[in-house]
Amino acid sequence: MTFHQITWDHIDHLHRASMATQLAQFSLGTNHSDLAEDVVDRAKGLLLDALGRAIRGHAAAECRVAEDVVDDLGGTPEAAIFGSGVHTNAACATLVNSVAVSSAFGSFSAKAVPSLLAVGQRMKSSGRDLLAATVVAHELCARYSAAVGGLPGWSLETGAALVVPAAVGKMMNLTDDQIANAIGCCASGSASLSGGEGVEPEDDPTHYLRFGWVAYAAIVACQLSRHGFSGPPRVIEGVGGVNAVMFRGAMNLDRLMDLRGWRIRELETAGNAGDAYGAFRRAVAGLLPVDRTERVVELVRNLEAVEDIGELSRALVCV
Amino acid sequence: MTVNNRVEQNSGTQRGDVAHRFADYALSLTYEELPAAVVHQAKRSLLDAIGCAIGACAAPGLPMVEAVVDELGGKAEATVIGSGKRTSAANATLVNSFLVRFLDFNDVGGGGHNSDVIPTLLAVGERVKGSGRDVITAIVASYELGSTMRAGVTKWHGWLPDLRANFNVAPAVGRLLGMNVDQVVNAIGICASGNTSLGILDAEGEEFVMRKNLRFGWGAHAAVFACLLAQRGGIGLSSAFERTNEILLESGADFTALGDFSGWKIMNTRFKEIAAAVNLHGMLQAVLEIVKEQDLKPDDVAAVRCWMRNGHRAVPSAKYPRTAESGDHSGYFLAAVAIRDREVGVDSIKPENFTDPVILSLVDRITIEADPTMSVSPAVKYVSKGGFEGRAEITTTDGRRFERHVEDPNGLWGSNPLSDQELEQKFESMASRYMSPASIRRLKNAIWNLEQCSDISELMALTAFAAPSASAMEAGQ
Repeated sequence: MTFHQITWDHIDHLHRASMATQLAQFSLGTNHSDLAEDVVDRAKGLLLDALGRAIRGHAAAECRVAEDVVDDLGGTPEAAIFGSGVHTNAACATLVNSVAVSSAFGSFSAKAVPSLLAVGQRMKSSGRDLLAATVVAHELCARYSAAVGGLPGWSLETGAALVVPAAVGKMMNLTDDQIANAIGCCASGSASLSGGEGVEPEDDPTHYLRFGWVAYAAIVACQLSRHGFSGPPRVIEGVGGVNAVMFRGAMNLDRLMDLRGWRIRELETAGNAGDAYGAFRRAVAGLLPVDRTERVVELVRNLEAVEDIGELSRALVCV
Repeated sequence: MTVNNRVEQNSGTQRGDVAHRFADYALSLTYEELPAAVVHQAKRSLLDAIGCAIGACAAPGLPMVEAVVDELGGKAEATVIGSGKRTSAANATLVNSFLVRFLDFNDVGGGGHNSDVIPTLLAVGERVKGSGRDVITAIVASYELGSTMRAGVTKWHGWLPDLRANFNVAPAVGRLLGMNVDQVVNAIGICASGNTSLGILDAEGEEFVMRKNLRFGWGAHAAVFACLLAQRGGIGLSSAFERTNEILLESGADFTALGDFSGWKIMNTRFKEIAAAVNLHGMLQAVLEIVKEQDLKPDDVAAVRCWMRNGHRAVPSAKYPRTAESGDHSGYFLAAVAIRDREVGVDSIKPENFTDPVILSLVDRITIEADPTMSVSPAVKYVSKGGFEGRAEITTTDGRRFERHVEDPNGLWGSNPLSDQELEQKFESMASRYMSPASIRRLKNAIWNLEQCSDISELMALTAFAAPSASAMEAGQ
């Protein structure tokens, strides 16, 4: 074996051992068939919570602004903007819908749901795919939160750069290497500054865009990676990476990579799916027509049987 | 009242933070107050940028970025260089910025490789049907602000200097879009809150990947979005630079320098003669001069010793690159290419070169050492952490030894900037791969007479070509 081949094998080994690749493998290894009933139940609750917030947030001024820009730029009509039902590309639909969820102060993992719906609609994913991706998104959000909790300067939404490529990359049928590249592409340029220490989202006029913008970039990154575009797979632990530069080495990487157990079981938002149906109805009352509200409830209740989650997105139209 | 006076007047008020100053500067600048030399320099950067973009049309990553832009879709308002496809201004920015940067051949000025920003200004210029004068003024604004930013920030703490895209793109785009100061400030705030490039894209210890050459374009793409959001009332991070300084730059910024808009910093822009990272230019020029003057062939070379101020990146991929992005930063690889091809240019980083036995054999005969006695380039605070000076010593198989020391590489800082004629030759060497002489002539003329152009789309239409020329096909392009 020649020197250059040894060198390249060494680099390949480093990339294959990267944390981004491990997150990708966690995502690809999480399938609906492996999920316990209560985990699925929590995932449905999380979905309903996010969708209810999306409908509530759709009327917010910042969401109107985002939708207007997306309409101005145009895009392949493959995914729906909740509320208006306008179709655009998955990245832009994610941006607007995440702004809506953020405007209604959704949780970290709830903000990831629009990206899953948009890519799922693009890919004609099944309800089972959506449930698995929702669990992946929540599990990784929880690990990222644990890894950076309390560290100053950065908004939690920066974690979307790790979470969203892993979750939507699975829906896009990417390989683990491609997902790791996508994480590298996204996380190397999506550091999201916080609004200031101690500033609550309610008092931060810029909170609305953070997750959506990173999620937009994550979807573009996945699309690039699907075509072979390379990012830095060692973006988390590598020289000049997230831990070294953003967090000055203070990120708890053990917590990030502790992928045991289902953190979604600790989720308090909307309790469980049973409670969540009622919460969803209350959240969208007066905004979403009753027949569509019940259609959404029915689809989520029987999500395992849904062949194409575009049905769900299409039901989330207010007008 | 000059633009500098107007900014000064606004500074010191509650609106005097850096984002406001930058917005004020960009929006206050007028074409009429640009000296002729400044206008000419902006055209030189434009010529060089478009040439580099055309020269990069064989980039392995290009079909990937173009495919994604096709998938994203968008209103047909801006032109993709080369293919001539029409897409949204944001999408055209993404593709064309990648092209300009790919060869690492584009200009050195405006705080770095600022011609990365030119595709954005062309795309937005097309969107608003801006004139040549509008685009020239926006180009100048971006270079002045990029340079000012680089003068005010000298330590980056692991971030890439390309983070200046958060601060110098939105003001230049904002003036094209007719935004007001508050809108531009909000656009800067939106950019700065979420689009900063990590050092891993250009880190000493990592292999370089395709995303490296999209880093400025990624930020510029975001800046277009940010401007459109802010134009409609979107709110950005307040005191965006001050927050960036506190969190990213460990409060190290020089706010006096960040308020110094005196002179025309774009005049410091220099242009590369060699398609390589700037810190390699001295040693590579030394190698090239020796092999050309002595008519040395690869088989004649027994050993090559090179010196550069800070030494070479000490990671395996730096010696045996397998990506274009690592290749154009590898002194070992490019010195080997220089010996084999007697030039370091567009074709140096072709994928087949990474496994070429002649090049690999030469690489094993090359050493690169640090020589701290070499000068720090006067350009260091603007563009590079090292110097450009370099030295090479080649020992032949028959025992002869040749040495060359290049203190001031051609084109870069110092006494020998590329002339207009040399810039045109560089442009033609890249454009002729894909375009006919007549098309090249029309494009050059349009650039040199840009102030007479009433709609920048007319210029961009000239950057499209149907297919690679026969010679390019033969060369495997």
